[in-house]
Amino acid sequence: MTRVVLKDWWALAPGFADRRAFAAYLTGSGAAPPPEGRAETSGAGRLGRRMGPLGRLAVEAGLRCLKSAGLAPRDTPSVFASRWGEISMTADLFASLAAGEPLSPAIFSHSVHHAPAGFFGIAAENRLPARTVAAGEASFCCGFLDAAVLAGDRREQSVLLVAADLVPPEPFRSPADPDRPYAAAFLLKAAGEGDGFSFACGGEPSGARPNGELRGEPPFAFLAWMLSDREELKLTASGRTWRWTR
Amino acid sequence: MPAMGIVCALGTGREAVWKNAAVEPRSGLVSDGDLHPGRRVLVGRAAGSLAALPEGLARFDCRNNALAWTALSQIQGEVRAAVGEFGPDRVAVVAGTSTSGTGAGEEAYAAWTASARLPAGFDRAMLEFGGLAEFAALALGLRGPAYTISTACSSSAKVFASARSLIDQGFCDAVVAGGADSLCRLTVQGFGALELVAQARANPFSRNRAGLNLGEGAAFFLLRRGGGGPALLGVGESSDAHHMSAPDPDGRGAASAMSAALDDAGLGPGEIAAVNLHGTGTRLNDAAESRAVARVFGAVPCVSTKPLTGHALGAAGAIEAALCWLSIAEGENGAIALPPHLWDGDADPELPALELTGPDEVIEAAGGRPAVLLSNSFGFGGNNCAVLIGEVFS
Repeated sequence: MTRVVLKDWWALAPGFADRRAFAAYLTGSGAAPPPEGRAETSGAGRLGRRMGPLGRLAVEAGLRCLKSAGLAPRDTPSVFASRWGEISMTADLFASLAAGEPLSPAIFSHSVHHAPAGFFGIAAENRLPARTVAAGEASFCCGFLDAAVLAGDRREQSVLLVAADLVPPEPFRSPADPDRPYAAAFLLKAAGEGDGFSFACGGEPSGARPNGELRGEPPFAFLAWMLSDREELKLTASGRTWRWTR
Repeated sequence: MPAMGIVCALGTGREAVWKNAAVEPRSGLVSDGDLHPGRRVLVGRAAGSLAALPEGLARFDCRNNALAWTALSQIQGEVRAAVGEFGPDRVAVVAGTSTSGTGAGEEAYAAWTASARLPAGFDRAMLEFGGLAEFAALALGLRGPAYTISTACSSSAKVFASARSLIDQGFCDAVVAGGADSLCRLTVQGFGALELVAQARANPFSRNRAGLNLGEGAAFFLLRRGGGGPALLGVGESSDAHHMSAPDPDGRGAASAMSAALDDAGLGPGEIAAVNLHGTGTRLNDAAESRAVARVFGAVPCVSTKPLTGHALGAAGAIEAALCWLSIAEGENGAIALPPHLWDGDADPELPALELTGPDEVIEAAGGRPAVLLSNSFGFGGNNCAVLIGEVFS
């Protein structure tokens, strides 16, 4: 099994003032603060105005994670993981089609699933590989897997993993969806024997499932585990078990 | 890569597709007046009927998954054998798409707008990008990791990098890797809004080139160690860091991806028999790509197969890898045939000249060396991928 080290992290969501607020929430048992206000997303400067709402969150989380780690943003390959992508922009395009109106070329080109990855590369002047992964409720888990193997291929470099999602608009919303958009960025590096933690996928579904609470969303379940001293984290997502073991 | 299944505008199955690509080449583009109201466009619609989805998977029933299943069902036997050898937990799926079930989403949204109700049978699993990989895994009975890569036109080229790493690092023993994309109003009208759609057949690298023709289709491979067939020899990835809907005009990112693929395979440019170009026929892609190819290779036989198939966006990487695979697999006595580059022959004098293939183009492998082909796929936002497929001599 691949061993990985988490070098740094960052998270953004409405209702959370900063990273400490996330850490307090994830290490406690209280409810998440109300999803009020908007997360600060100014790191990409004027480019941010061209991004969709998912891109603004995801790019901000990625840039802040790298800044916190003291890494130049151009030097890190990346994997972005999102279940729904820029779903609100897609819904806008559907509305235009239904109304027989011409499509906005800007909304069309900025609504592609990997738009956050593309904008991140432009903002960071990053010419390294950038992937975007989707896998339903296992989007973070599969993004983690893809980032882990990318880190395994490029052992001299860290890999930035950004997991981000919007709340799908009607008519595509489900009661099981989280109550707010979010972005969580993780800086991963391949670890030597005995360092970091191992990660594996397999076996019958036997772990915790996403339950609509923010801390139950896989990126935050993982982050909560990293902030704890528990030996193992098991999640079930998309019918598979994902295991992280110290 | 011992097994491959394909459906596209050239037909269904390797025999039909190879016949229409290289043996008796003919463009599969057809005229359509429904996808863009008030405008007729040439599109590469998958010819013939599509395979019905396996029972119990109705919630995934959309054109995109029907295309995927039409290709996947062609390699069912080999996948079943891999499951028998390795176990279902050890066979993964990595699939590329840029549309997923967007067409189903369009119809659902329109119905909801008109009646405040979604159509019976619509499930948001059709719309999700991850739905393609999840569907493929369920349809084939696979329990290993299953995920979708969506990076626009490089989606189903990038799958090969991930798939190979999953095997090399021990997460699985085999991967079903490929892609599917389907024609829908959103992409046809979106590309039209960007003024990138040609009125006539695409004319890549011509001074008269005026845009692309959209297409659809699916191609999937079984990747595993051993098993015979053409092999995946290398993959290179890069980003332009330039603009969301235009490539770096100097082609630096494209060149970087091709060089990275060569380095990955331990090959030099002179060992590549030919290049399957991204070659969309847009002014900007062809300019950037011709500069990149000239920089990396100097002179090398090249072809864009998009005038034959249309630009299948997220499925293009896999479909064009399949055409390279067929060139290798159908080769005889050290010679491989290539599809012709269909164009008007009027090269753009402002671009580096490329050795574009003509009819009945046959490449003789030099000095008994294995034939190796490189396939380029470049996505929106400058998301670049180059894939090397070739013979492996034991």
